[in-house]
Amino acid sequence: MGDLLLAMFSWLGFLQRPDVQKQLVVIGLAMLLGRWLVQSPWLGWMPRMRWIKKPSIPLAEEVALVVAIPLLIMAGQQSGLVLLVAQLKAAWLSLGLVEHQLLNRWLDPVTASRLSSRLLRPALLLSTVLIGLDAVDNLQELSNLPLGRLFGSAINLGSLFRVAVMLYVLAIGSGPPATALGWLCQRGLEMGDGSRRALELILRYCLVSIGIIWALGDLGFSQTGLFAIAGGLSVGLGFGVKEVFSNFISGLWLLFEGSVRPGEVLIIDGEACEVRRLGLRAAVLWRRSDNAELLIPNQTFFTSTTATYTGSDRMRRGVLMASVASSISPAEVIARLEEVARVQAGVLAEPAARATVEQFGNATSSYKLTYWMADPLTIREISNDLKLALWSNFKAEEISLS
Amino acid sequence: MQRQTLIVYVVAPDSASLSKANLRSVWDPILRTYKRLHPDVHMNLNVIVFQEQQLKQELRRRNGRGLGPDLLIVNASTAVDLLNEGLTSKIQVPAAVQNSLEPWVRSRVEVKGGLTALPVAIEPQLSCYNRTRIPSPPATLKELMELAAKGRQIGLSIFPQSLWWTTGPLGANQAIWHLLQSKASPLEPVDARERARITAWLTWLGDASRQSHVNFFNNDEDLLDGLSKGKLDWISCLSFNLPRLKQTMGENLGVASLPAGPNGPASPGSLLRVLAFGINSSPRTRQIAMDLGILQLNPLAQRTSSLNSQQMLPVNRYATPPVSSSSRLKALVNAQEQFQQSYFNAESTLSLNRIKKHMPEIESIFTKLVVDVIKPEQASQQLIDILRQP
Repeated sequence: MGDLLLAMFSWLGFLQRPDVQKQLVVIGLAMLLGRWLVQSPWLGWMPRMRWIKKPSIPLAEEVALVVAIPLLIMAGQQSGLVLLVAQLKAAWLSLGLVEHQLLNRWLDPVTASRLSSRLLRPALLLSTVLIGLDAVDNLQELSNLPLGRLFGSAINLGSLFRVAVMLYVLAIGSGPPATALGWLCQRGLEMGDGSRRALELILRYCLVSIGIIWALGDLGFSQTGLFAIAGGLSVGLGFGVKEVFSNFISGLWLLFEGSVRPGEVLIIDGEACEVRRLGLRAAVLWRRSDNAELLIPNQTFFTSTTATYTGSDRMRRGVLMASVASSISPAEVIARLEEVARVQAGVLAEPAARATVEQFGNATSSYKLTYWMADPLTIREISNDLKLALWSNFKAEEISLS
Repeated sequence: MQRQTLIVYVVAPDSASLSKANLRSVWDPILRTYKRLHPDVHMNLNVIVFQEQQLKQELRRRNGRGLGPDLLIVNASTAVDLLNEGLTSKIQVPAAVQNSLEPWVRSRVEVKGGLTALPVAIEPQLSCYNRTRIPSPPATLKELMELAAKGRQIGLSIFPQSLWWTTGPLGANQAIWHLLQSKASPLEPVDARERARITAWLTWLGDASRQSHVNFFNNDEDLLDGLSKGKLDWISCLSFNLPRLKQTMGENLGVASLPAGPNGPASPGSLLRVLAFGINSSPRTRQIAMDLGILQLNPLAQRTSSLNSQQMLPVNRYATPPVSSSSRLKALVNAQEQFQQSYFNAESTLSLNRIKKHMPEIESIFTKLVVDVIKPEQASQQLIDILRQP
């Protein structure tokens, strides 16, 4: 580690060189000039410039840098550093162009954003850092710098960097092949969506696990070291991360079982909620009544009874109680209740709504109307609309409803 | 307190041959002395190793950015190339410093109006062997072949610079030198004695290759590996390979001067290590680099460097290597004496531009000879044809 710090400190020595100082000043001035040109109002006054779309600040900075290079050469000064900065800046500008012109056209916004933020931009950032390090030092030499020992293995900067990059690429890049394989399995074995998703997830975790084992081997970890890590994890599973592990296994199980899938409607605390996402630790549910998102640990679905409206079908039955004066014929009330329900929007025609007499009284008799709806989450709205329709219908015949 | 960083590039044929610990053993005493002389300057040395093949390209790129080195530790011939291509700068040193250099050393770095670089150490070619397998090193080529006949594994390189040492014992070095210097037309007949000497040398190489325990290799790396891993018992090596061999072989590593022959001593090569000066340094850093270089030429510093590294000899003629305290240094001194006795040495002959461009062809002739595709007489004729090309 000391060698690395010493090397990093020595890079500052370049700042003492007149050639480097001059180029840094030129880079700074070119950046300022580019920014000033774009922001200054007189740019719009120039007649020729009106035909050209106003350039962005990074583009103007790039142009200023490129113009500075021949000027430096003509002045007999070094210009390689300015050229390097201009090249790196051009690479970032090109990436922006690729993102706007290609990715956003061909891919949906979420995929394009993920591809950009998780793969393209990190890759370019990494390249920029490596090019920068290569400019001030020798990458081969840097990669051999020792960082210390871990479980009896000497770790150097190069092996640690290689392992970190490989694991990142595996974690990010294992998605598409796992999805493709999952899709093939779904087609070939006619498995459900839940099983496909579980398979994809398991494939991804297998790839990452293989990557971790490779990484440990590449770092030169001895078997003793691996046993020590495995032992540590076992103790951790027993105490600290028991809940996490339990939720992880529950999540995989639920994915395979397919009982809790995105789109399912479950009753949580007496309210119907829709499953939005099933993560490895927790499921995300949406409660329509107050637009809240609930994070429910996966093991909850294993340890408590959960009611669902979407197990074998998505229909939900609604019930409405009504009291009508006993003087009115029950047959007429039943027919009227069923007729109102039949024409009510959102109430399914099949199974048909049914009204029954619940209780006869001296003044009023109780009736029960049961009806079905296709979307379990719309019960509040349909129930409300049905009540209003019944009230209007009964009032028109001057029948009191309570 | 002033903080100064000196960027030093060390150029080696391969990074494996270069021990940073050994470099530190040479540089640390110099830095300590500098610190005593200039307590107000805090020195930081960043040593970066480059391979010879990539050096010029890297220097062009880095110099163009202003991020080139302050100092380069290279061979004298490389330093001349770098200066000619404008990748390093010429230096001026006080006359006293110039006069302290060995005359032949001085002649290698002197150019009009200064020096190409500042010589700091000599690293001669010698023989490295496994002491458990070879109790006493061969003094002649005959003894070397007798060792092979007894089953000892001998390693030789077909790389012309590495093989040049065999020309001296067989008298071919003088003949080759004369052919290179000759302004005669390629159509004119070659002196019979010179042809005979070259043929005798190539005949010895051919005979050696037919010995089952004499192994020829395409590069020096295989020779070093072979000795380190116990597959070979005797090889020719350069003194800068010694730390690497010592690391793997320990006390089993034996070092001696190369075997002589019927026509004289061996004609080993000898690397002259020099400090070349970069073109991007600030005036202050350049001054510090120069001060450090001159400090390294101090007789005491030269002796200490020799003693600490056990792989290099002083260039200062007033510094005598402490041979009485180290048998290895004694072997180095003997090898260096062989080099200086042999006027037609590899450094002066093979560095001639006229022959430099033909090195791959010469290597190809040696390869064909040792695999018995051509006879020594044919090899001799082909070699003479190349040497006489303008």
